[in-house]
Amino acid sequence: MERHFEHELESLKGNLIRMGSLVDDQLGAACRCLFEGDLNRARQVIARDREVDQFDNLIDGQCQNIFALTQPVAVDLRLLMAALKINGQLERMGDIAVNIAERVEPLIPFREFLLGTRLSEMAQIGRIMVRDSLDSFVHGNSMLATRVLVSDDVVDTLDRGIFHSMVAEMNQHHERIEAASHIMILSRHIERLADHATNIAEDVIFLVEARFVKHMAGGEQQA
Amino acid sequence: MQRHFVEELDALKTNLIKMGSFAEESIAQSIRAILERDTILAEDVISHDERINALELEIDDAVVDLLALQQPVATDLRFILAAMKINNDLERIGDHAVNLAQSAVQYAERPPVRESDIPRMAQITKEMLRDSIDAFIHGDAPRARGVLVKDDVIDDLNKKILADLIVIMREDPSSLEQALELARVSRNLERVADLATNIAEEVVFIAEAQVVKHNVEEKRQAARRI
Repeated sequence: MERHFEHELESLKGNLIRMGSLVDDQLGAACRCLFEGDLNRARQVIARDREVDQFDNLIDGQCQNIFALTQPVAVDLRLLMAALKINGQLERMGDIAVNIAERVEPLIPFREFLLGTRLSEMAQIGRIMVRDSLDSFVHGNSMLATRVLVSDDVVDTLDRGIFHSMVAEMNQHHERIEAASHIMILSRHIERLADHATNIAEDVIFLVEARFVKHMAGGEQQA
Repeated sequence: MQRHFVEELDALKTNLIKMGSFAEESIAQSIRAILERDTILAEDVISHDERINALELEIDDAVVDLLALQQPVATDLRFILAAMKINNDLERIGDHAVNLAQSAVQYAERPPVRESDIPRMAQITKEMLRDSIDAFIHGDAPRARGVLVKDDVIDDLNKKILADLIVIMREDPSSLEQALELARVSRNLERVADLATNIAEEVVFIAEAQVVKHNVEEKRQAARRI
């Protein structure tokens, strides 16, 4: 029984890692499409979200089975709960990749304008946060997780900066109103991506140090 | 032991219902604050978020205790796992209520713009939230399924509102800030509707042991492949 449980837990962890790298791929591809104006690949990203959803269902089912068939206690229980939550975060990150891919088309005529914003810098930080949060989970590294929490403030600041500069653009160049509003929305999506990475990092810290950092910062999620 | 378990489960349910009513109230009030330009009400919503956050942590702890000490099986296990997710969804709904209330404060500073679909979107979102919470309280899966259907209506409304707002901004650049505020409102409503949909999916899961998110057939295919 004990053996079986460990095997199940390893398999669960393996699936979470695979899902994480799929989501990371999706985010990377979505960002590349956006900045390169590649509509065909954007469509592939949208189509591939099905695979992310399949992982979500699979991992959920796996967690339920482990709960039902074995009797996890203390440490394992926390690991399972974290796995369930991280799964949910990853699924939402996958949705964000789709959201980004969906804005590729309307922004194609405004590529130069898009590249002139700080969005790609923001996306880069967001993606590093995603990877760090997943690595911190895989290796139980709470130091790495803490770094994610710090980066979240940087992303929030960038989001606000982009918002204000887009408002200024809209005021000066009325023909850019539509493009600027797409960029604002993208900025918000990346800000949310960073929030999801932060949630994972908080779970890791909780897992490792059994400490609740949630709500302590008092920060609100902006959507 | 057994008696104790039933009591703890009841306490969990009661707390979730309380959490649901907090979230529902915050959303209803923040929407009213926007439509009636009531900044005092908006400030109320913002200051009340603390109690939702505190309750979320309390419920999470209760879930851990129940799972660790009682080793629940079958229906009870399904309920407890779903409770954990619903708890998280409700906390996020509370965050969106705060976002909406902040928009209400901003929006009240300048004259309104003529965007006509926001009240309807707000109404449907509120209904979805109320239905998903009621469906949870009464274990009413058909009612939960009703929520799932409405999510598409909300997505379409969100897109339409954003397109309309872009037209408004183009025609009258002086309305820019106000139009952007409404775009934010629309997006937050869309997120609340999404979260209500998640709750409804969990209710169906508890009642029918059936996964309705994404697609069950896809799950089977994935299981075969991996």
